[in-house]
Amino acid sequence: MKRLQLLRWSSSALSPGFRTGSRLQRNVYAGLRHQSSASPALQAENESVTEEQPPGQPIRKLSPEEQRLHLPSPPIKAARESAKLAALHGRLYLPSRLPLETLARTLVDPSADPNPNFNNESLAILGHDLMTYYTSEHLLCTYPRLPLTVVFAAMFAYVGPKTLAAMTREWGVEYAAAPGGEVDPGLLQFKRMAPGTNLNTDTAISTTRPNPDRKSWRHSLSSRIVYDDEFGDITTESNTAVRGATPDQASASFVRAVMGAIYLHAGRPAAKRFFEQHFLSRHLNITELFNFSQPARDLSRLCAREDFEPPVARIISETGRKSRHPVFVVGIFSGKDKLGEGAGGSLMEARSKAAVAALKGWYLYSPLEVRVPSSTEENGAAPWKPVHVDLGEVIV
Amino acid sequence: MHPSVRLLRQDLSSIYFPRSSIARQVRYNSSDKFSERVRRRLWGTDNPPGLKDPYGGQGVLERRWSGRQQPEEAEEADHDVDIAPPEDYVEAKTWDGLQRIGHLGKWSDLPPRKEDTYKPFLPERKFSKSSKVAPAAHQAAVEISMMRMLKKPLTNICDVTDHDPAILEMIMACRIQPSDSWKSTIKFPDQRTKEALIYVFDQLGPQAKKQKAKEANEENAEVESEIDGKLKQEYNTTRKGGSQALALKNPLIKFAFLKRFSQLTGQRLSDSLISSATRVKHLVEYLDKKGEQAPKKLAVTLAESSTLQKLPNVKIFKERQTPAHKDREVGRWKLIDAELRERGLVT
Amino acid sequence: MPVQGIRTVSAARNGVGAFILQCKRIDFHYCDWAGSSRGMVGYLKHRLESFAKENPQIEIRVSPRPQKHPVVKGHYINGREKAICVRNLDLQQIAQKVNLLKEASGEKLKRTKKPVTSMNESVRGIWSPYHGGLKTV
Repeated sequence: MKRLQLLRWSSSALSPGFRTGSRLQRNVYAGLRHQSSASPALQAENESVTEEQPPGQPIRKLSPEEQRLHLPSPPIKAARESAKLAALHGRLYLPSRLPLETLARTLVDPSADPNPNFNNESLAILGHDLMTYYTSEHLLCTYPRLPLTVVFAAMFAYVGPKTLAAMTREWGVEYAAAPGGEVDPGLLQFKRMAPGTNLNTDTAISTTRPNPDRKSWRHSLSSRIVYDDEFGDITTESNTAVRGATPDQASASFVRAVMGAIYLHAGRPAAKRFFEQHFLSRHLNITELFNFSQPARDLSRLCAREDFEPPVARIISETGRKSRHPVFVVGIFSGKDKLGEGAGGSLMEARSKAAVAALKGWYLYSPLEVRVPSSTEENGAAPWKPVHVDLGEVIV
Repeated sequence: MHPSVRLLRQDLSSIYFPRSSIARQVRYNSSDKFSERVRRRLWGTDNPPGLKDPYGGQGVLERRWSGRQQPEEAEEADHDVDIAPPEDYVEAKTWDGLQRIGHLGKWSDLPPRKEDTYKPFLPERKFSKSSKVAPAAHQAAVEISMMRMLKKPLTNICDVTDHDPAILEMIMACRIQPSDSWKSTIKFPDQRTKEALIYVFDQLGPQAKKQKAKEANEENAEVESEIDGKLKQEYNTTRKGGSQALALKNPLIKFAFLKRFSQLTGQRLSDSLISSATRVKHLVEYLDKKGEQAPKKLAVTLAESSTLQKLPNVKIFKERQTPAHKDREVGRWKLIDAELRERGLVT
Repeated sequence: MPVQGIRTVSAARNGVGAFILQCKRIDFHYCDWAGSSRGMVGYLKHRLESFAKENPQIEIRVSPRPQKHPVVKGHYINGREKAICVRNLDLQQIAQKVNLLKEASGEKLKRTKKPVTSMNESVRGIWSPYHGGLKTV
């Protein structure tokens, strides 16, 4: 395989001037963005733009501060002056190959600066894909029998927007009150929504899902896997540049962009290490993500599918049956094997708890040695051995 | 008559209010104003007591402005009238019955007079750099020598705060030959300079004072700064003669020199230094040393440290950080500013 | 639907993977003129450099506060801040105070009664009266 030219990539991410863009677009932004630049070529371009203005308008020379006020986001050279940004770089133990300028760019939300050369949109897309890939392979390899609804919930818990917003706070990133060129580049910049904005007006991105306008129709689980996003939600897109973004949205895109920036500048191993240290290390009790409606029925279906003897509930012990607080301990047995056990105030409660315990015991099976497909990407890695693939949850 | 009885017989208003305010009232009364007429009717007299308007009269700025506009002489005459006692004034022998001791009006009520403004002898700016102190010493030495040569009172030179740039150039071009008695110490570069300087210094004195001062005022600060570098260069070339070796033995000369020198440099010279200094050199050295010892701001020291500047997570501010700075940093300032402008509270 | 997923947010365990220092910013305030700032000025001149180099994750701001006693102020990730007045303290004492601010979590001081707190379940499990060694009456 050909080696990736990471440095070349990162240089293009670093200096938007090198970005391929149409000549027209660059001219439009030249007047805005490169005023403080020391490059003579860009200044000449700038002058040609101002000359084209109608002669009636007096052209006033702006001071550097005023020029900054007119920018939608901090200029690139401000990144080196910000102590906040440097401290954030140090706090996250980011690789030194990731420059402060890129880190500053990850903090600019598309709602603050709609120019794709200066906002974090592209980095966020890359980071988002990486994060969801690493999370899903971790979940599927660690818990091969997990029902898909639970997988969706676990994905949401690991890399959902709420988690990413919490991580932004835990990283000590503060929000800017309003984006602008004079703002410290170490602050998260996004345009805030006006109070009272309706959040449910996001338009669904056109997918291949048939009949997308029929919102009341039931979405089957299989269709959610195929058509919807990694959390099982309908993919929507909101016009943040006009409407503004919520702090949660902006924080999520920041964290994703950091991931993307690390991948771009420091390479895949560094990105994976970062993911393991900051995302997988978080505490998530997967046993609490299940919500059974009829566990006893599910268990009998499961046993029928797996050719076990049909499950039988038996009382293991009890106390105070005639009292105000009886306790029953019920076990569910399949032949001679005890599948699960539960204690409850009534026989039914104890039985359903026992069934839940039995189902969780089945679904939460985890192989002793977990290996994920991305581990084979490193040089000298052992060849991939197929992991256990389960039939999936029972269908009732 | 007992003083207290005499007090009762007097017009009360002249006790409570300074005469100037009464005069103003009379002037004010002449302008027929409705509120004024009502007041007069309420009090039943043509001279109703109280301030001419209940809100305390003109504001501070208004008063100062009107005071500036009135001609000086008229003002002065007015004060004389104000301060002069009334004709039936009898001096009290004891303080029994007196409500107040001293002038009935308050000094602070009177508008400021010429004597009240304070103009310091020493200029506000201080020279402490050696590049400026030594030329000042040279200039003072040349000037004192000139005055001595022309047999004029030596301290008269202090009336001139600033020379014309051309004359200053000539002064700097002169050389000083060190001698203890300050006789024939100046060596002029040429005859024209000598004549010009003698002419100029001859004019100094009480009769030429005003004109000189005016000239000095007209000088532009810009011109001065332009010429500054040139003068320094001039001084460096003529330094060899050395005004610094001049002795300060004669008390008259010493006093005149110290006065002029401290006026030029703006530095106050301590008594111990004055008594111990025997040559001009000592004074210059002292001021040089003082300039070096001036405490440096910590922010400047830290800004000079290259290792601290290299550290990206350190930020050093030279001034106090206020909430306004924080507002600017988080971008809130422009919102506040826009909102204030929209409401017309800031223009 | 046999089973539904419940959406939650995973909880941070600082130090399990990456460790984030809780002190995110330290402000140093001094006065150029006053004598109570003497130790502080010395600290800023001689010790600040090494402190900043050792702790790149802390944003350090130095600004004068004329006519006031010197203060070191720590800002924490949980949004709280701790300020310590270091008037008349010498260089060594200030270094101790700065270290204290650096190592603090930003929480209010509280008495810890249990030596260990954990989010994980107990390995041994909770004692149950219904299992093992049942006594029949």
